[in-house]
Amino acid sequence: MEKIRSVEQLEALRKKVLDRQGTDTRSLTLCAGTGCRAYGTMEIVEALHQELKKKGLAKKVAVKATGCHGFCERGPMVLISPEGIFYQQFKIQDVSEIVEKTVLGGEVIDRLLYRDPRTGAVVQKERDIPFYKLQKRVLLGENLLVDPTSIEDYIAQGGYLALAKALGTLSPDAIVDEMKRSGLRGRGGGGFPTGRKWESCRKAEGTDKYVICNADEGDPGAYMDRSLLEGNPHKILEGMIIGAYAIGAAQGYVYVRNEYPLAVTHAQLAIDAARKAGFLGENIFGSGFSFDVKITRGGGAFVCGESTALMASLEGRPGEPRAKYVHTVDKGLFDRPTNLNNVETWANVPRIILEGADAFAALGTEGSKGTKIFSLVGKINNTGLVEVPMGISLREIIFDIGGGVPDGKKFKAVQTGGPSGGCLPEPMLDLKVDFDELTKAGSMMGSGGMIVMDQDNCMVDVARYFVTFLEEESCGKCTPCREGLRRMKQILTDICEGRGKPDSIGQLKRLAGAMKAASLCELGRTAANPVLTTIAYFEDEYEEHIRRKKCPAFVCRSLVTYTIDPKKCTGCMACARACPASCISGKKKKVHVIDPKLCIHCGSCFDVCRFGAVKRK
Amino acid sequence: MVTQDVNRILKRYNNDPSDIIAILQDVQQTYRYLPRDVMEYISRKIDVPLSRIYHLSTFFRAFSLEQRGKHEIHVCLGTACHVRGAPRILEAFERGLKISAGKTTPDKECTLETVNCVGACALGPVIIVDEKSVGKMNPQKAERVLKQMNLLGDEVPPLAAQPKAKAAAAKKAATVKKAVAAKKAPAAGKTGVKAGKRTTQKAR
Repeated sequence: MEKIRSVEQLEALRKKVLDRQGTDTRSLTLCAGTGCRAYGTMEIVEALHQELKKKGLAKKVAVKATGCHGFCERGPMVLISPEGIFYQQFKIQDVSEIVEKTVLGGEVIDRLLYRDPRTGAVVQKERDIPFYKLQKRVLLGENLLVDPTSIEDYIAQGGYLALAKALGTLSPDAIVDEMKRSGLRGRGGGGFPTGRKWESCRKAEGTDKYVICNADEGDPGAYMDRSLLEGNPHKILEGMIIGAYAIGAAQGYVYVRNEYPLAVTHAQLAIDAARKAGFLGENIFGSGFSFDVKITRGGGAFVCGESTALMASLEGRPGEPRAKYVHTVDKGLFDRPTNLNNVETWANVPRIILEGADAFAALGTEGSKGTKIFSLVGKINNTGLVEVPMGISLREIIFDIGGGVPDGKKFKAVQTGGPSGGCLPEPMLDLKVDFDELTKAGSMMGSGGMIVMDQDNCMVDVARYFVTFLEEESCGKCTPCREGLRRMKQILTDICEGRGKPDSIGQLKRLAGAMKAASLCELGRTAANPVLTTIAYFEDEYEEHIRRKKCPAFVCRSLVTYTIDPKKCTGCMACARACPASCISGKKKKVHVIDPKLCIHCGSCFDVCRFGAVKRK
Repeated sequence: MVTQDVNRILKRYNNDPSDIIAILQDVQQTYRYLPRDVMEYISRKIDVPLSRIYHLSTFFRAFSLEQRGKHEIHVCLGTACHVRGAPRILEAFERGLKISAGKTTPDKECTLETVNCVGACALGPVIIVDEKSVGKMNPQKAERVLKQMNLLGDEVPPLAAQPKAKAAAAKKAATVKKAVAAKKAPAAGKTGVKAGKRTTQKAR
């Protein structure tokens, strides 16, 4: 590709690509994010190509494997344009029928359409599905339009026009002002105003400034950053180049989690293509501004999502945070002024520059502008990524978009903000989701993980899960975090195993206070949030464990006993076969008995019994 | 031989000490662990203290000081998988392989690892068997996976698969078999969990 030096050249290329794509009368867009690849999408794409070739349609029908569409629950999925027909959960065997009937014949295959699990209504078009209809997919929507490995696709969608505008018509100060006016706050968790961060870094003394894209998405259950980087890498790159110009940086880094190989590949392809097109390198758009980006893979440490730890790791040192009385915007990577933003934050930048701060700020609440992507997972019907305006209620996200809790079970809590966040109960479902409201409720926005739990989840166990996670991931540099988490884990394990003491809750609260006051970085300061919120909203569950030695959700196995009801047992032997401890005795068609001395309380017998004969209490 | 491989890796990063983590990642991919002599060689070659290399190799999850098994099973313990019962899946594998998480079987056939989230939450509880995701796990399915990989010892009681579930089991088994077959190819990358790793290699 020829290097693009002016906005006219960019427009000309865009027109050329659009003209070429316009000749495609029909296209099949498949989600090929990591989740759908696990369903076998890439094999389906290959089969589609073969089938179309066989039918002589290879040139007439475009097959596009794009980034994540968001509706992970229903993969593999395909969107058939121009009609907008949406097929979901189809198999490789359905490929020839899809080509034969729908692509050639224009006929809709009813069995592959989406059925609303609550109403049973069959929905033909993607845009009419409640999951999609109620979202505001400003960022994610573009994932469906671009092939992440093609820079031309991105340019066709207006890509790099914001960069052309920034470099051609705006001064760095004007860009910083626009960012400040937009009210964009950091999407990685802290929620710090992005414009103010840029301004501080721009004003910081010293040369050799850096910009960093934090794609070390460590929050378990959150994968929006991966989907953006995988699905639309040029968007993030464009944001970074604009940011670097505004701040005065010549070098940028993308720090990606090691567990995201596809994101690394796509980001690298994007960087190479952008360099060829002249968007990276020397004298970008003939403006005299030069900038380049390098990818670094993380080593698999949660704490490296913290900015100072990430920078240490980039320098080739272990990812241990440092105290931040000297800000990273003044002294960050290699002790130079450094501006670090999260993937989703960078992805919002091009639109703010192109359409203006007001257009961005039109959505959202007083203190939190724009849209936010959440990953809605756990006990939820529509697992997936949802993008909604700030200020929407939890109830709308979980029940209207997410379709509620599966199997008719009762909603118990939603955990937001990852391991540093909190669990919010049913009465708080009408909470308006934004940075400030979630913090007020004792949780936080975090990077946008939203884990739904139902009646079968034990809140003490969930608190223990997060504390165990953080204890393992604590870097060990400061004492309050290292020792506080270890002690918290011991106390919670005691409660879960029936050794809780009347003062256990008090102990946990005191530890939490010390950790919050004295830890070095945010990991330690916020580590107690899952414990404190579960105590605040589910104290009765803790009390049940401590006083009555019972787990109401039957999760804490030391507190659950299993017996077989002789009246209901048919002697089918299913439980005896499933028992890993071989502790169930009984002959065929005779009543079975569990030996309590050998039982390991795993619950396998309860799961397999089809007659409700296994009882737990 | 060893020095050739390592020199190639070092050259890839221009012997730059600030790229030490990337260098170690590539070493881990090549050898399935960080051999001591390689660490010493790198330390001398690019002037990074061996103590720092050791610090890094124990700090980051991606590194291992012991050789990993021929097969790797990673059980996802992300929050979404946890609330859907991941601890029981891990337990089933620990029971079946008779090792605890993070360990390798004595015959070096299989390493059992946990991972904090692979971002395939819709498939939860999910495991990665030799870079291929297997979703919607339950303890019975875990046993079937192990049996298919021939990783169960003789003294383990027969499988709990019920007659009805047998068809499903056979199907699952076929998938795993494929994964195992794919694995037989030269063991290239073995660090961390690599959902979609094969695609990465293709793209290279």
